[in-house]
Amino acid sequence: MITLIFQFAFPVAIVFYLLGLSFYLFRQTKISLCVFLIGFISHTLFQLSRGLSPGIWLINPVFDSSYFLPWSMAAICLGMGFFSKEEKNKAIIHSMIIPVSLFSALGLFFPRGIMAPGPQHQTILVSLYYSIDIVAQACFILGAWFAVLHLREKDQDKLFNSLMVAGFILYSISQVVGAYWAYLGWALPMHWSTKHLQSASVWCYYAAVLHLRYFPTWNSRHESWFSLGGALLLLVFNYATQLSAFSLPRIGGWTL
Amino acid sequence: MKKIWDFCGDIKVNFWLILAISLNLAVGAYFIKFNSKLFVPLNHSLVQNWFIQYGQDHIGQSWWLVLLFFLAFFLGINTFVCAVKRIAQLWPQRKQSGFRVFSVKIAPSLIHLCFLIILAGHFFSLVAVPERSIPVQLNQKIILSEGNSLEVISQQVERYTTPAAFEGAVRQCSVTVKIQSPQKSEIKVLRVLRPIYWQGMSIHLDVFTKKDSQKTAAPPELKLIIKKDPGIAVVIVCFAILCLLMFWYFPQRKKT
Repeated sequence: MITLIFQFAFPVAIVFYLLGLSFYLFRQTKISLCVFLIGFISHTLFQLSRGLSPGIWLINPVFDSSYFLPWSMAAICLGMGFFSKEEKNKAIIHSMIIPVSLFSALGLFFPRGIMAPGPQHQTILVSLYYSIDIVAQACFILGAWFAVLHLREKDQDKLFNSLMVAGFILYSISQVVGAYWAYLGWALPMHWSTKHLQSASVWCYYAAVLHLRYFPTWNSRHESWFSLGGALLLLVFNYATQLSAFSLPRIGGWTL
Repeated sequence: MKKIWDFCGDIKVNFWLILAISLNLAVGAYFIKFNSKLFVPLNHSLVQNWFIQYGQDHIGQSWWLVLLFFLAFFLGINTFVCAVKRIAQLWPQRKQSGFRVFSVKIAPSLIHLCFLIILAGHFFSLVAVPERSIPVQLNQKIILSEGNSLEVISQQVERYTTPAAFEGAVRQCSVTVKIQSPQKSEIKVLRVLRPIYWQGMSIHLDVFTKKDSQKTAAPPELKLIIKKDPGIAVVIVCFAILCLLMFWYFPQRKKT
């Protein structure tokens, strides 16, 4: 059963996300949300099946960025939709179905296997670091999505800013957890490595953007452009290193 | 003098400095990715020693590191002046504004002071805390400090037996060590990610596992990392406080 879920739940989730997207584009918002929710449930089952598929429960594979990033984005979308009280905000929150579908589909092209956790991964800090880091990235990417809407004068409540702030706080927490993990393992809170420097670069970028509000001449439109720039930086860092992993989707052992 | 002080405490200077550091780190990540052999020793030596030994001969690949230190130094000064100016401005108003409003107003300055301590701590670790990296050899006696020594008595490698997909892969490594001081002798087990703390020193076990560790029965390469870094706890604690302050401050800012 777990193998079946592991092999098929993610493609099924994408089918439902894309169906939801189609309904959204045809302005069938309620049906779109219901279909999207089914996709999310299927995606959640897939994430859990990744943890169970080796035959023992392992938490690390659950938080693999290829699949956990779109899952986090979908969870934020549903969470914001559920807690939002204003109708005008709900309309733009529903539009998040577009980036969620896109990033989920990307997951098919960047498959990740499940590796045996080595000695340096035998700690809860690994899962904690990756989960918080990826949720923060989801906030940044969705923040950029709202920034586009703000530039088109649809996000009047500056939701992009709230997402950027939430992302920055979570990203900072992930940096602390990561620093502690690195210290325990290698006696260094920060390595001179590509991954660590890229993380520090993203952190500094958003730290700079959060200072923009203190400029008297700057406005939220400038901030929106910077939010877009941040997401671009993040995507370049994330996907440039993964390009070698690119492959055609494999579903249930079959390459499409 | 006032002009210099004002320039140092200018928020615009702050913004561009952080942005420049972000860009610099991104460039650094690029150089490390394509010159990894050059930068690996940087993780195990003092920055100035590394620069004399390697960096100055490869200035085309290491210039960004020099620039990073300059930028970080100016950011430190700028952050300090900004925080001091703001505290000096807010402190006389503390009774009029009330405790809550004052706390919200002063929080960014406290965040900046935490950041300064983190920056200073990192700088101290990078330029003043040497690291000893010693390959593990049985019955080898290592002098820790005057009168204190460490001897590796045995080493253990634990491999996965289940599930079948992971069979043979390295799960955990540990070494049993005898630590001798003038007063007493202690036997301790040192594992990866579980350092031993001894008289202000931390002793870490690092492991280098190859990707195909499952196929080879040879034990992985182990090494001891010995360090005496009093600043590390301050860096991690201040980073955690910084996160907590931000976690509290941003929602409060929205309310006020």
